[in-house]
Amino acid sequence: MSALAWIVIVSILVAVSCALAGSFLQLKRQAMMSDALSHAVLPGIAIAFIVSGTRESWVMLPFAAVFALVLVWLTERIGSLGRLREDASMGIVFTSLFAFGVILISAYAGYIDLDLDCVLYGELVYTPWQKFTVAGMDMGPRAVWLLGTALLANVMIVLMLKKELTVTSFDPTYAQVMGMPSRKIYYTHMTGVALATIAAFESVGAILVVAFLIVPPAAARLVSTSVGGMLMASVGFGVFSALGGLLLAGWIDTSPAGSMAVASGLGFACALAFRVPFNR
Amino acid sequence: MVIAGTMMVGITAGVIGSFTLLQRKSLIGDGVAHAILPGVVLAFLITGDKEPWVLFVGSLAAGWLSLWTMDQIQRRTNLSPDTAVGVVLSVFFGLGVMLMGVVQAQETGNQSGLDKFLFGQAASLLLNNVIFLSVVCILVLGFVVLAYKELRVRSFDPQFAQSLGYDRPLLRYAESGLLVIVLTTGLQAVGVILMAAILIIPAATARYWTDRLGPMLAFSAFFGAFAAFGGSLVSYMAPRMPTGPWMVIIAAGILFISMIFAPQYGILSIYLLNRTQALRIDEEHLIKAMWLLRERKPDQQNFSLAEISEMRPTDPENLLSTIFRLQRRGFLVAELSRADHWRLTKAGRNEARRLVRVHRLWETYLTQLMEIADDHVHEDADSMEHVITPEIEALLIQKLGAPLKDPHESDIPYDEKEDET
Repeated sequence: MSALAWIVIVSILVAVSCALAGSFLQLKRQAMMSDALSHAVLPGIAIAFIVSGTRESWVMLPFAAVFALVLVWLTERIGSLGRLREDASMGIVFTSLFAFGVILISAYAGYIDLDLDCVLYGELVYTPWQKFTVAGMDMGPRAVWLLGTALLANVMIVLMLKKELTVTSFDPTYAQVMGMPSRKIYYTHMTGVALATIAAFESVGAILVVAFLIVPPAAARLVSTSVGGMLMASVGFGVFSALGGLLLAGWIDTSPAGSMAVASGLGFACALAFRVPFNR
Repeated sequence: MVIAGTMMVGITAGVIGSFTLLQRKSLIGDGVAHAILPGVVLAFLITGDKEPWVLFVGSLAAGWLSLWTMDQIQRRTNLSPDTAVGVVLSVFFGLGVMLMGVVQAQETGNQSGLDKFLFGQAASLLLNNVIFLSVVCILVLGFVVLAYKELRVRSFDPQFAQSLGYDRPLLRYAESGLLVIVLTTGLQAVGVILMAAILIIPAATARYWTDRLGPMLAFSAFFGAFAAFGGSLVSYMAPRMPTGPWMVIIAAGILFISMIFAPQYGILSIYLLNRTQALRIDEEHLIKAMWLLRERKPDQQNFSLAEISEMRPTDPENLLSTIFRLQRRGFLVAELSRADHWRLTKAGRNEARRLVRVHRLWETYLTQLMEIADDHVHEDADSMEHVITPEIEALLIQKLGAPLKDPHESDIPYDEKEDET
């Protein structure tokens, strides 16, 4: 398979898993949680590098996931103290974790080969050459496997928990009355979001993964009237952003990740123009 | 120079951050800070110049445009405010990264600018920058002093502000304009991502120390300046350490300490308060139990541990410590002739009479005026008796016409002047 084909596959995998994970964040009105997550996992990645000395995503993943959960948990705890609102407490936690990550990287900058740039912007163009080998056999790019796993997890979460997620998003009180394990559902969903975020990291970088998690679901919400429709539209907008971004990047020879975010913005603008009217 | 510069940033961000925190716009700072990137790059692309003021103009334009876009998305759709922030943040930033790619393709070797933008470079602050930062700081403080009344109302009650006409476009533009200017100038010191932190954390810390806006601004500015001072000091002593992230970590440390130790709102003082309350409630229950025992056995003054604990079942250790506390407060005395017997002192009897009275008055109030069945009122009265103040008690007596019997036909005890010693 050609390198370009792999790049296309990787982008689509990123787009679809983020679109699915992001849709319910959007419905829960927690869109910025994805921004927070993508920043908060930095110390996890730094520690993984320092401890293992490798840049294997499989090593990074558990460390990053731990910090993702730390973020969700701390945000909840600080919010529940009652003095600060949830958005403020999230802003405090994720920026502090990010600062901690930057300090770790600066402290060990001489010893580890960790480039902040590649964490922040990803290196989509190189993914086809970072192969995953089993017993000497070439199994294709590593990123495809990682993202495939993330996608599978998110598809499973959506298939199995769609009803529960819908109810907890729209009417948490009703969900509680129905006896749904809201907290378990919440943490399962957040694990899916974290997986998608961390897996997408390598290819599109920490900041622009946010574009995939927030913008397509937001656009989808504007043009859909049901949760199922929104999920489909979200995947559609996501794939459009990925492919449109690749084309744009090829055309003016620039960063694919940035171009994808711009493409997603174009998609959002279209959705804004053709939005379904709503009642205030 | 560096310390002075970052401290200016800390003070300004602390003050502006207090308002964004109170207006529930904490994350907007994060969004705008990211959204400034395309402005910077575009200004550079057009002029081919790296003059600070050129980039500054570009940043301002992009910052304002991003705020306007967020506002429009919120006005025209039912998307949540944080979605608007997220969309603008990622799309603008993506555009910036894209343009950055174009710059890099045009000329090689001139790409260090982006890192500086993201993480700041406090070490490169020069006298000019410090003067500029001070001007911004004075501007912000001046604005806050001039528009203090309007800002205060807008922060706590936006609808009321609107009805008073405090929602004037001029004020809104000035407010958002200052936010953009503060963010833009702060970027050089701490960088994009951590600018949001400097905006939120000192203001959040201040919330733990005060309820009033004036002191909150002062606290916030102080914490911001302190964090800036600490961060600069760390990176001065260990040059490899970045200033911005250390500022954030120090600010977060102050917040953490405040969350635990702050008077009134800290975890510790809330815990202590709850504990004191719980102990006092135990004491009041015990005094009341003594009174009820006296009612039940009018010829008896002293009651044994067994009798008391039958009246108020609780674990013996707790019961004994409550008794000792009441002895110290002078409400109970131990009977010397018989071991493990106690009786109420005069003060204790007065206190017990008061508690029983408010309990029974409340029961009467619930059954007579709220028309609640008399078998449902005891529990409620049991918790209300601890919080009814003399004023409420007087009001109850007045409303009910000083009744002598409660719904369960027990006497409501009023002060008896002929109380025997």
